Amino acid sequence: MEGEIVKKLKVLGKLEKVQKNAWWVDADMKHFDRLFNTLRMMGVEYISTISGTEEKGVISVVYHCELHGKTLNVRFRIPAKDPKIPTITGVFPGVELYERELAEMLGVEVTGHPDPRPLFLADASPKTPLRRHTI
Amino acid sequence: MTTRNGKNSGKDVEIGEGKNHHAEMGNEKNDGKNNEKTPEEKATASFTLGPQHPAILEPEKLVLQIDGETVISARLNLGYMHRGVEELMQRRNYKQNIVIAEHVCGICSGIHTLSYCSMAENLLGVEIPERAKYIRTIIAELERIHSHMLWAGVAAYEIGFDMLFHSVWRDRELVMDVLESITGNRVNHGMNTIGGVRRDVPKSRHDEILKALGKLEKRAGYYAKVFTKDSMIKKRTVNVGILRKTDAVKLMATGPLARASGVRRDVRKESPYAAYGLVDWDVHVEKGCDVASRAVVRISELKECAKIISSCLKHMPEGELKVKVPPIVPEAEAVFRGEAPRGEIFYYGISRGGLNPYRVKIKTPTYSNALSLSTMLAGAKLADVPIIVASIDPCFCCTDRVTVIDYSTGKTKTVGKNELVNRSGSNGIF
Repeated sequence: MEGEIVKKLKVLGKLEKVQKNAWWVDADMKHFDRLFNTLRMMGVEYISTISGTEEKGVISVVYHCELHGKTLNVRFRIPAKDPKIPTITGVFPGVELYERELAEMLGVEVTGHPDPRPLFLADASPKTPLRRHTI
Repeated sequence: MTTRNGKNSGKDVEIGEGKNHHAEMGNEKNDGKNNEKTPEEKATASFTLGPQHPAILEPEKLVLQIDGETVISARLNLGYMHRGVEELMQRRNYKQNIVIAEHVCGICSGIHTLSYCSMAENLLGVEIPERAKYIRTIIAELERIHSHMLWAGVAAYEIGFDMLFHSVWRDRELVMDVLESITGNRVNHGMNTIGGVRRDVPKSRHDEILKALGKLEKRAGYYAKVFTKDSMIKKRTVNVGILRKTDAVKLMATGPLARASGVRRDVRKESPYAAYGLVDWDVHVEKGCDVASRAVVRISELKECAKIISSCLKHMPEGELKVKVPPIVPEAEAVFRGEAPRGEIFYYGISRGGLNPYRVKIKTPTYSNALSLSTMLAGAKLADVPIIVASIDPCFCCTDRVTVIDYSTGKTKTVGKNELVNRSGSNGIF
């Protein structure tokens, strides 16, 4: 079964590495919508969280999905200058808060989000506190 | 720990009506184009619960739109205990971060260090000794017993059954005493370290632990009866706070909340860590989808926990407690998923070869479950709100956690390393 999954993952994007408890896929923004629909069809029902990390002018947005007990980490790289990523709440409604946190902490604009308000920080807090090199 | 000195404006998680949750989002800005009434229009009054309220044990604020006694929609404000743990972890080395991970949550501190240490071990690619795996499991399960009993007491208190609350918390002392005798502390045990565990569970202590577990199992059997048979508890919990299976899956509920809605989701079974794959145990799933089912799931888990612990004590091999690990982690990234008493806990770490991690991302269970409050509160009676909120076993202390903000001077700024070192008065060691 694992071989089949790996084969499918290779179609989704570049399979970076396979660890004991995780697969890492580097995906292209071009296939964004198709990818999440495919994941849904592959049996992904649960996304642990969405994390964002800024490094050298690039923000890596990683969707940590659960697939057959392993974590399937799908990574998209977007420019830190004008970071935008579409929402996936249409396919996975449960990620709503994670996307709001991503927007708040890293200043990534989540386009099409049903409720794009800040989540944790107070009005007077510094903006995008998890950005390292810019702002 | 730190509070925001009342300055917080706590942001809103809007909660709409049941299944139309997402359609309802942002309706406050509705300018009347839609002929259907918004939840706010249907409501006759607004009722604010919190941030400080006797019925809510942690600072969170619920703004309820009500029509008479019925809740139409609710809005949860988060962020009253935002401490900036993820940012702080980038400024500490791997060993120091164990202490920070331990303080993310006051109740399930052990599973946080277990997850953090396992994540760091995944980064390093080290395997811990077998004996350490068993000891980690024992501590995690003792902690689950303590957490679930604490919840059962709080639930009894929320429905006005104070006698039961005192009784459960008295029995909870049994497990607290065991934890104290093994680790030296009731909470924040300081047991896990990167590469293994710090203290042993010696043979001389086994009898004492098994004796306490025997008593606990008996009491758990009694509480199972009370929670399922007592007419007063049944009136307050059966068919209250319904979360259907489809909604639980859709809203990605986790832990006992998901299991009480018929979703077989437990990280300990899905991807066994520590010694969970080495001992025999079962996942308890209920189909009632209400507060009563959540109580049954948690109380049944008490017995499973006792089973896991006795099995671990029996099969624990002799050997080393930890392996030595280098202080510098090579460039890598790793994830770890664990099952906290409240649900899935998730750690993601990136190392860029330095002494400190480049990024640590933490996801706590209440953060996943907060969204599910939507379906549960819509249509509920006002008097049931505290028990419905309590039924997810909320831990907002874990949920609010990302950025360092200093409000002590009234100014907004990020606290730097030097300042923290000065404040700690530790000559830069910490």
